[in-house]
Formats: sequence, C-alpha cells, structure tokens
Amino acid sequence: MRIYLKQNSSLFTLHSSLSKDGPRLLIPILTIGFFIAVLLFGVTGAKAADTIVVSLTNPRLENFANGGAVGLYFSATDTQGHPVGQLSPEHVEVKEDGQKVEVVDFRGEEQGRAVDIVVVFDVTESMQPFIDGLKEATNDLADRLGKANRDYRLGLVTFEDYVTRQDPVFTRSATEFKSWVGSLQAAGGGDIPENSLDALEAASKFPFRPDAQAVIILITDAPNHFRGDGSEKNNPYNREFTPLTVDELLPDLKKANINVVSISPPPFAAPDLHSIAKETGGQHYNIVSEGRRFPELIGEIGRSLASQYFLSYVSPRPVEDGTKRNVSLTVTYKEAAGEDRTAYEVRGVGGARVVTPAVPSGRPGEVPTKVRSVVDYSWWNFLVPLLAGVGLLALARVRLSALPAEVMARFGGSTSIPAATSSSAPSPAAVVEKPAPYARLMRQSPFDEVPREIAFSRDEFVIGRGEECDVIVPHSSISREHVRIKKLKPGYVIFDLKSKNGTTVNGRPIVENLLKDGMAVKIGDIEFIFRAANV
Amino acid sequence: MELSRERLILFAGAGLLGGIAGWAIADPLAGVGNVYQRAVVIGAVVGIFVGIFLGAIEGLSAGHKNQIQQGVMLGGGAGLIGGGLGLLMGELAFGALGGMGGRMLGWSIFGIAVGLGVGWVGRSFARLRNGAIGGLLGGAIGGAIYHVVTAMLPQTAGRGIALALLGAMIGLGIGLVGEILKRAWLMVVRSQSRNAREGKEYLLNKSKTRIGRAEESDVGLFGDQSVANFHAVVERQKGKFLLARGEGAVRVNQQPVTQPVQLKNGDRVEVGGTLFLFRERTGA
Repeated sequence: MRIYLKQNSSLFTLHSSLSKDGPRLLIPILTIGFFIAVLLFGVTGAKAADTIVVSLTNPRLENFANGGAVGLYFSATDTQGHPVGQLSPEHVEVKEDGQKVEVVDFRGEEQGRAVDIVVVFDVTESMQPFIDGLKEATNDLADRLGKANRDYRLGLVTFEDYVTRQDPVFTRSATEFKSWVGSLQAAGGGDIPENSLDALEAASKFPFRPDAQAVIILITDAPNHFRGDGSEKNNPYNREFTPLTVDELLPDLKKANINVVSISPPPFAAPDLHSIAKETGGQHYNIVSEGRRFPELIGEIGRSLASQYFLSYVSPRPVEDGTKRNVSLTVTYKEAAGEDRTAYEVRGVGGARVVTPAVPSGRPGEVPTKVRSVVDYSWWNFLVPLLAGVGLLALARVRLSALPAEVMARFGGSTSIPAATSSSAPSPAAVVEKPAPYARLMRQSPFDEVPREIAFSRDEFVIGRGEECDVIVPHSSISREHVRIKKLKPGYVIFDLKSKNGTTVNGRPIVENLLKDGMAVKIGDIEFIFRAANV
Repeated sequence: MELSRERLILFAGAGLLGGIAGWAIADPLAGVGNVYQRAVVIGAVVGIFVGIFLGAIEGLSAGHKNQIQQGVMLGGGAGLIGGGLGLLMGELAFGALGGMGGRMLGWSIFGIAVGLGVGWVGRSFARLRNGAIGGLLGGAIGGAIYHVVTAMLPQTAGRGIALALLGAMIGLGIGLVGEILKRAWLMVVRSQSRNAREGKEYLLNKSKTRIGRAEESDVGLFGDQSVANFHAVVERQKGKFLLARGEGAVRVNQQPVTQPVQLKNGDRVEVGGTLFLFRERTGA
C-alpha cells in the first residue's frame, strides 16, 4: 500500500508539471482522485497475486452457419501485463449462457495470428517525454511480435484538439515507424481535453486485414473532447472540436472488432477512454501511475498481444436464430484464476430452430459437422391454424360493440322491464325502452343474431329466417316464414304461418292474436315484448 | 377521444390469431436453407396468415362477403410479399442494425405491406395511409417484442408467443391509427338488418360511402327488405359530409331527405329499418 502511495504522489507532480496547459484545473481533480486511486490500487494490489487478467475479443462467427462453431481469441496476463505461461485446453473453461461447452480447437502462442496495430498518439506539449519513450519502445514491441511469429503492421495517428496525422498507411518496418514517430513535434494544446475520439475514429478507418487482429493503442495524458462538452468556448472558430460521443464511436469499434489498448488518465479523470478499452476487450493503463515505465509498458503490451490464444467450441444452440448469447471464459493457472465475458449475436431475424442437437466430438481441430436441414410437420402444425381460423370466425361474431351511455340516454334511458313479461327470462341489459312513435317488438332474449327491436315501419310484413322475409331473424328456432303482422282496425294482429316451433302470446300458443301493449310474444325460442306506438 | 373498442379488439385479436396460425405453419420450416432463404420463407408464410386474418376480420364482423373476399386476397397477397421482402431486408441489414434493429426493420416493412393490403380493401386513400402508419408502428414494436421474447424463450413455444404478440401489435397498430385518425362515422343505434349490430361503427373515409343491401355497398345492411340495393350515399366534399338518397327513402332527424343534406355531428339518419347516429370529429 505504501509503495503505491509513494509512486502515485511522485507521478502526480510529474504529471502536473507536464501539463502546463491547465494545471489549475487538473490539480484539484487529481487531488480528489488521488485518494480514490490509493484505495483502488491498494485493493487490486492485494489481489494481484492470484488474479489473471483475461481479455477476450469479440467472438468469431465465420463458421457458425456450418454447425455453430464459435471462435474466441483471448490473452491471459497477470495484473502487471505479463503473459501467464503456456496455457493448454485444461486451463480454460468456456461457458455459453451459463452452460459449459467443450473446446474443440485450441491454439497457443506459436500459431501467431497476423496483427495490425495503429498507435493513436497525443502530440500536445506535455507528451514530449512519451514521444521519446515510444521511439525507444518500438523496437521492443516489434521484437516481441516477431518472436511470437506474429505478422504485424504498424500505423500512426496523431492528434491534439484536431487530428493532425491520419494517413491510413501501415508499415511492416519498425524502422520506418520509428522515423514517423521521430518526426513528431509536441506542440499546442490550449485546453485540457484533447480530441481522442476523432483520432480513434480515424484509426478505425485504417485498412485492417480481415483476418488480422486489429489493435489500437491510444496514448494520451488528457481526457477526451465529446459532443456537448462546451468546447466551442475554447475554439477560435466557435465550434465544438468533435461531433462524436463515446456511445456513437463504440459500436463502430466493436463492429470492426478492434481492441483498444488505452494508456490514458485514470478512469475518474477520463472515464470515456477507460470504458472504450473495457468495452472493446482491450486493456487500460493509467498513464499517471505507469507513465514512468512507459517504454516497458509498450513492451508488455507487445507481449500480451504476442501471447494470444485461439479456441473454438460448438454452441449449444448451433442455429442462426437471431438471438444473443453470453460467453464467459475462465482461465485457471497455478492457483490463479481470471475471467472475462463477451457476447455475440447470431444472424437470422426470422428465427430458427435447433433441428439436431450438435454433439461436439471433443477432438481438437475437428470442424463440427453440418446440422441437417429438416422440415418437420406434425399434426398440431395443421390443427393450430384451423383452430385459429375458427377463433377468427368466433371473434367476428362476438358482440363487442355497445352503444355509448350518452347514446343510450338519448334513445331510451330506462332499462326497466315491463311487468307483463314476468313469465319470460329477460336480459335486462339488452332492453332499452322508451316511448316511441311507432309500434315495435322488443327482444327479451340475449341472441345476438336477432335484432334488438323490430320496428313496425309498414302495415303488413313477414318475420322469418328466410331471405325473402321483410324482417329476417336468422335463428334456428324460427321457420323460414314464421309470422305475419298486419295492421287492422283494432290494431296490429299477429298470424302464425304454420311455423314449426309455433308462436305464443303471453305463454299461450296462438294462430292469430291481437297485440296489445306489454304482451310477451315468443317467436320460436325468441321472446319479444310488444310495445304500441306512443305518440 | 372516442375510440371504438370493437375495432381495436377485432384487429388485435385477428392479428394474434394470424400470428399463431402463421407460426404453426412456418416453424417447421425454420430449419431449412441459409439465413436468407429462411427469412424469406418464414416472413412470407407468417405474412400470408397475418395478412389474411387481418384482411378478413372487418368483412367477417360486418357480415360482408365482398369485403371478406377482397380482404383475404389483398391482405394475404400483401402479407406474402411484405413478409418475404421485409424479413429479407431485415436480414440484409443485420450487419448494420444488429438483431433488434434488423427485426424492427423487417417486421416494420411487413407491417406496412399488410397495412396497405388491409387498407386497400376500402379503396380509400385515408385507409391506405392509416394502414401503412399502423402497420409500421405495430411492426416496429412487434419486432422489438419478438426479439426480446425469442431471446428469453428460444424454443418453438417462444417463437409462437413472439409471433402471436407481433401479429397482435400489427393488428392493434392498424386498428388504433384508423381509430385515432377517423373523421366521421355512422354508428348503428338499432337495425333490422342481420349484420349491423347496435354500437357498430362504419367509417366514412371514402369520397362516396354507399349504403344499401347490395354486396358492393360500403355499408351493407343485409336481410332488411325495407332497404334498397343502393339506398343512400354519404359524400365527402371539402371536409363536409352530405347525405343523399339513392333508390330508397332516407330520413335525417325524422325529416325525409329529398335534396342532399349536410350532416352534423349527432344527426340521426334512418335508412330502412336501421337508425344511425352520425358522428364527426371536429377540430384536431
């Protein structure tokens, strides 16, 4: 604990003397952060002995369509960035969605993968010491990569408040890269934050080889500008320095599968740069505390890049069903352990089903067999649409509409049942009654096919089930032509037309009957009340 | 705002049932071919069913054979094309949009197509527009729901639930936008016809809405002998609604109509044995 404390305070002074641009603002920030840093360092320092830092890149899905193969590149280092020894499959455990999977392919350091590295470098005045350090470290970096059999290329982006160098060129020569770095001049600044986001964006546009690991090493001692940071106040053109925010930049970096290694101020001072490193599967190094051993740090990054492993496994869900899966990788080595998590999303917006559960062979190097395509219908696949169709017909017949209360009130507010119909089973809600200037039969039964009211708009008409009737009541208990209603001298008279189920008035079967107000008329099974005109 | 609960339930229910039916037929096909072929097949099959169900429901509920026939053909056709095309586009955009975005895009295109198909049944611009907006909304929301549900429940049953909800959202979207944007409608107060139930609303969103007993009528009053084949017509002119008689006698507020009359909100319109209430939404 004490060691870190000392290291921090001395570096703290070093850093504030470096950034002449705005020490007044930086000092209070760092003073507050200092205590947090001490706390944080103390905690990680204690755990360092038994912790492995595992760093996963985004899963590779090139072979996913052929049976669900997922590839993972990862590195494993101790907290100082030193790679852990020679790992083999028994040191790793991979889980997808919490389910342990079997590793079918495992490749270690010796089968190095190509790597494209862009160094994104802050060239404001305070960075002068690091320019020299980078020159010094380049050989070491190249050396380590070369020894690990990794076919590397290097590129350079520099920035201050603007991106000052962004030629999208890679070189295979460490000497050429050193000459690029050697020509750099530290100058400018003006305000504390610098434009690392624009620089990262420029670096992400470099022509990375598709099969190579893509790495950006960001080196800066300042937090980043972002959209909405009010930087237009310090800009002679009255514009903000960057139109970007981290949330906009991150998806691009992730999609391009770029690991950002960030050597930048501690998380509390530059949270964006810290989260970029975390989110892209890269590493974050604190430039304040680790700046003094900068060349060594670059060497370490080279070593950790050099010690990349690759493994592949078969997903427990080897189909492109458009879902997202979470992957965790645990490395256990000599009583130390570490874990990293990542996630991937497979194609297939329409969805897909697991046809044959893939059985991983377990033998390394074997490509999983292709899952067979099967069209697999069973009886329910046809029954369900039939039921749905019946459901649709039923839905169309269900009574969903009701007259709004205000309309009810206007066209008949009372819902009382006339005494004369006490013999029948009324459905009170269905009955709306109000004196009306016409005679009518009002329904008492809750059958939906039946009009609620049959208004007597003519002097003679026929009620029945048949299409040729004047009033059609489509109910099975009603005959094709059931009754005729005719206006005679004393009033409306109802005639049964030899119907099958007959007609009753006040419960008495009739052949013909004079209708009087309040009489219960039953036509087939449907009950009505007769209401005389009330003018 | 007056929203007819009936239309919302009908459309959401029809979409739900269509989604379930489509799922049952499409799911066994979810193991075939590559992602693109699968997207087209699944989209098209689900599209046909959701389209047919949504296209048919209004005609079914109104007891209107012509409308059922047209709805099934237009809805099914639009669903077939929109579903296949939409999901293919969603799949192609996967790289740029990811799973959630791809699904929202794919099912939105599908929703627009079905909405247009359902809207075209009425041969009115307003219905087309409402259908497209509703389908877009429903498809986007439904696509997002689909994504979340299939992520949580990746099995066959999960896709069933997801597609049912998707269909319901598209149906609800189409119904809801139609209801929100409706200008004027006739509400049945009572009817002697066998299909016009009390409380049912007929939207007046065409330039000419024909009322009668004929199958071609926009407002079909079937089984009422006192209604003529082409009984009356409501015309929309410069945002005003005029009622004119056709072959039959019409009364507005108990006065016989001889010359076309302009309808006002709350007017009672009698066509044969059916009494309508004219409703108009004014202002916003």
